Amino acid sequence: MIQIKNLNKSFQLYNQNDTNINVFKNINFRVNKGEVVALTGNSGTGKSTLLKLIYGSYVISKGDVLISDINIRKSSPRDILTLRKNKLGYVSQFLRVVPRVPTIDVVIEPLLEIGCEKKIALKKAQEILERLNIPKNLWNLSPLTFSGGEQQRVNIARGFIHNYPYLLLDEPTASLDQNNKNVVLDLIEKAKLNGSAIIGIFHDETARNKVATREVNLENL
Amino acid sequence: MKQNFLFQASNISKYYGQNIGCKNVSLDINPGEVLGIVGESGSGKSTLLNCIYGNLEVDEGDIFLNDKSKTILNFTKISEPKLRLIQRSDLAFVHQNPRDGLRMNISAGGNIGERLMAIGHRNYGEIREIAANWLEKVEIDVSRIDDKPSTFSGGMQQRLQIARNLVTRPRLIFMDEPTGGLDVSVQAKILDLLRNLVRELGIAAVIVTHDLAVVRLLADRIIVMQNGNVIEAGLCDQVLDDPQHKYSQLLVSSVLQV
Repeated sequence: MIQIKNLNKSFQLYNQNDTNINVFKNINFRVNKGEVVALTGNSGTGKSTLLKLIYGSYVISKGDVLISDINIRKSSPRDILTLRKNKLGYVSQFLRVVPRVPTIDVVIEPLLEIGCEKKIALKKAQEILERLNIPKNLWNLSPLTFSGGEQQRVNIARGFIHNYPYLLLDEPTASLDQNNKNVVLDLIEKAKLNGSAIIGIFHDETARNKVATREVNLENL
Repeated sequence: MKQNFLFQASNISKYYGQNIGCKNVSLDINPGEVLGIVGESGSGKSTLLNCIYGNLEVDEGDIFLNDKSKTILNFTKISEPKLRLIQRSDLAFVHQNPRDGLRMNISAGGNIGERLMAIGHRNYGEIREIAANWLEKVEIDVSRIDDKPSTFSGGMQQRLQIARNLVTRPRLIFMDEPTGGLDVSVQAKILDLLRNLVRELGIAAVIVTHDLAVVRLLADRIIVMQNGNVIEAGLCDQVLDDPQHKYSQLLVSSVLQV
């Protein structure tokens, strides 16, 4: 279960006239196993910020984020890295990888990190890349040369190759065609049935209606 | 002190006369971890790195290594020869300029083999075979084994320096701007190589760099230095994406989007 308790986030920008930007105040909600909560609200209401706070990429100003019994605000960098490796997945809109590394190696990395045998990891990667319609002749090329939609699917492959019990999705279907969008929605559905607790941002309303079990609108909180 | 730690430096200070090299710096590293040290030039990054490697004598503080035999050694208390031996077996140091870390007048194979001989290898055939193996690992054509590094490109020299350092299977490798003088495509090659070696061999690393894109791809945690002090430390992406200190914010906002 993911629990958000009285969560506040503001940014203090020292080099820009000491501006203080209040993103949101007192956010409360929880996401149970097998639920997909869609974050909604206009641009700038802090949807991506909230995902980054949960993932530990942003510093919590006040309040708590609990993932199962782990309190993110009180966790050391090492604890957060362990949590990410084993339990907490994150699919962003952007692919950030070492140049020159082949796609297949990018995709198997999360499995190697948890000590999975390379042979098994490769097999799983092949399955998911096939499912996401990444042509086989691209697997040994660096994804940095791919189109936006292909890069996003590589990101998704990385995020879904391991069954994370907690998943954060930042617009996973943004630049995909209808066919691939459906594949991704199926993957989300499967993770949901597997009991993952999922929080996502879906700008595409039909996609959102298809997978979300509930919506949390950040403007009304 | 925790038992599973690999390396720990506590309250390290180094002064150059009246000037501060680094002040009161503490850090610790577990096996397999990569720590990045960032800051602008003159912030004390290289001083700190040289202090904790044992190249520079510290004015204050202690440095502990949990060595291969699980004995905890204090660098400031052990003899010079013992320290040199540790530097060549448990530790390794990759210089920004490969010329500082290589012997330019002996062959590529000799550069790798020399390190093996220093820790007791004697069989020439075996040494040559291991050297050839390592050239392959760092993607240098094995046919170049008898050529001197002075005939290599900068990127090849850097990869040779990495091979020379890793051949003795150190557990902790210190790197001072390892991709600093290289053009971007060669940098990528070396980053990829380092990342794989760190994971395959379970080596821990401390990387000093002013290149935030490099730390983002390599480091688990980072520390930010300014004027010899650590002003911020934490999870790599957290410090880069949501820096809390005025100076870290400036540092992060001053680079082109990476």
